[in-house]
Amino acid sequence: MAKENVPAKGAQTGVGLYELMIILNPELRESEIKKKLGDFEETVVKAGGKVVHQDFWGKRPLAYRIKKKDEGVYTVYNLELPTSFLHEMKQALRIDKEVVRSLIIKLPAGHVYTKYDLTMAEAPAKKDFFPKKNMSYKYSAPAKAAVRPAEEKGKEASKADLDKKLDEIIGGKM
Amino acid sequence: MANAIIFSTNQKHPVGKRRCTFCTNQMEHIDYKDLRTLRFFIDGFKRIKARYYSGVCMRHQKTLSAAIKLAREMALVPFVTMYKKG
Repeated sequence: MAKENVPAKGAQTGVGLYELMIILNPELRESEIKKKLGDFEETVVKAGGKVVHQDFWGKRPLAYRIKKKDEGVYTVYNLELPTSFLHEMKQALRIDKEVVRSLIIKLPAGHVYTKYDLTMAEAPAKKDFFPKKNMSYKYSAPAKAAVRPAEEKGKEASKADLDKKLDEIIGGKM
Repeated sequence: MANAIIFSTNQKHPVGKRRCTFCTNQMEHIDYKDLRTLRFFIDGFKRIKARYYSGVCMRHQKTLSAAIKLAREMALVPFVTMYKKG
């Protein structure tokens, strides 16, 4: 049976709302990442889709090693895609060498993208390893990083002051 | 939004008085990206907590476990505590 005659998986008419998360290779440069994502968006638009929302997380540590990498560049898309294009997109992402991992989920109609605060979740919980009896799971607001006052640059001491100091030192020793 | 969630300490209560945190907070959709809430339902050994301990209802436990598994797949949450580096 020739492969061309077989309809691709999910080859139906209609448009659906999907969420796509891509992990890109962290060794890519910023310009390369921008180009990659731009090209991807172009192909989506060409295929009759629409980029509803894009959220760029940036570099983030992976929970475990994937393809000898400890970091990944995360991006989340909310896309409106024709269902016939889905299979093609999955193949393209799978083949792409710079894409470490990708995930596509169908969203319910009228879904609104919410951005979650990931700062708290990233903090390693060492005490969780052997949970104690009276452990409290209450979350407190993430402590703001202490803002350091800009260090005062060493002001140029005037010559007269320097001379005075020198005199004091020398005078004391003498 | 994540800050406003009330996590009930279900372990202290008897079985009849336990309440599902997702039912009480009216969270219909459990997102796999919402790591703050997911972390609460993950064990010290990074396993999904049993319903017996967390008090989540059957319907939400299923969606919750699906969300945690998606997060694991995308390396947002580890499968196990220890893994060899290098």
